[in-house]
Amino acid sequence: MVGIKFYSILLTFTFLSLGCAKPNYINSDTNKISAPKSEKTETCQIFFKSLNVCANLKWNILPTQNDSGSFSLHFYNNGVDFSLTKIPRVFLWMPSMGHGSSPVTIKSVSASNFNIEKVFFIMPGEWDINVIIQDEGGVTLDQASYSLTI
Amino acid sequence: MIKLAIALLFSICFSYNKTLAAACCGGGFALPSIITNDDSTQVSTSFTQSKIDTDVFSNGNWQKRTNNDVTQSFKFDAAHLIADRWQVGISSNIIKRSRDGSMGGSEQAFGDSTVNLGYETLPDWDYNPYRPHIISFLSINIPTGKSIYESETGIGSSGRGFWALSIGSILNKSWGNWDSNAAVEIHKGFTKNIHTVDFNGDAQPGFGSSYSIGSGYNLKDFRLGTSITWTYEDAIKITSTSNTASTRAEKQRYATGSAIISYMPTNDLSLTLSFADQTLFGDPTNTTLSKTVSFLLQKKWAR
Repeated sequence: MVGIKFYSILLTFTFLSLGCAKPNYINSDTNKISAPKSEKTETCQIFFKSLNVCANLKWNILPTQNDSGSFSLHFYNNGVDFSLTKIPRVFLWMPSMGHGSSPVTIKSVSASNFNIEKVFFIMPGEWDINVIIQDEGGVTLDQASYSLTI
Repeated sequence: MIKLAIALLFSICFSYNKTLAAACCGGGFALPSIITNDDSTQVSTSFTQSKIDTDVFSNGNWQKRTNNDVTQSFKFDAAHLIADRWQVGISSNIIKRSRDGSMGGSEQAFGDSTVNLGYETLPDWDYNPYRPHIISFLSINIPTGKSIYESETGIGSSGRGFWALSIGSILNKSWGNWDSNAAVEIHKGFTKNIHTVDFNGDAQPGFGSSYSIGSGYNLKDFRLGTSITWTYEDAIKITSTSNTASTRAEKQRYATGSAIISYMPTNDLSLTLSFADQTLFGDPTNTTLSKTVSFLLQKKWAR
């Protein structure tokens, strides 16, 4: 009897402590990427502060939870195409989780235009597309990121 | 006979009070294999299938997964008494992960392994309606699995990737056909160097902890039980070697509720089926939530 009383108290404490989850579901439209977070101007999506260079990102194929996408990067400075001496480095990073994703493929269209393919985010959430401008020797000249939510 | 059955069934309790992983990233920190009754040795094999149901972002939004991301695990646990109140244990597993889509596929690899040392802190010398049976443990997580940093596709991740040290205690008590249990553990991961195509630097995990409570009812050769486990992981600090700046990932938090049914055809053999759901309890953040089905077979040897 004493044991049952003790168990009842324990059970009560258990239920009081449980705390059911309170889901806050949002729509999971697999073809939708939310507007990027950026403090830059509308005409400059990715701003490289040290070089005073802008890069605009345009999605060619939107990535989904199952399939990769692709986008193009156009570099310019004061409205004039900015030529890179080396293909930029682009990698995906999930800041909240502290890990990256599959490596992307970068193809040069011209010295200021590049196609980034095999863009795949291994899980939904907030991601950064990090872009690094390098010199001919591979030394980093400047880097910036483009934030988005998958 | 009933008391013996109850005592034997206790050994099943913590076979499934395991801390299930935040499935995205290769694994969580599981409670070690511990003998909680009067046996000298216990060996377990288990098969687990888990499917990611929901992603919870750091801003509190929940999003249902629309693709199939399934993890299967085959695990082996063993524990053995080395002295009257001391025991050692090991645990290892093989993980296979599959995901839909052109960037999906299937990969399998060894998961993380653990070795542990247990001590019967508070034995059941005589019956007391209030005093629980307590076993404390020290456990080391060995990163034999492939971490998320070493997997380009994500589906190849089978472990946390960090060496980690854990200490904790398991408590259990029975009253007639009823039993209850609780566990608490705290762990600390150690810094890992990361060298991938895209990133070179260090990942420095912080502290993590889990605590669980559970109860069960024993009916002849069967036990019906429930449990809930709350898990917390500190944010991981990421430092790149290409610049001095460092970033800190967000903390993770989730809760796992489980329903368990066990059957003991003989005194030394048990079969357990359990279902776990991470979407029902707690206040999760920055994690994936899964639903899991597990089957365990356990063999024990008496002292």
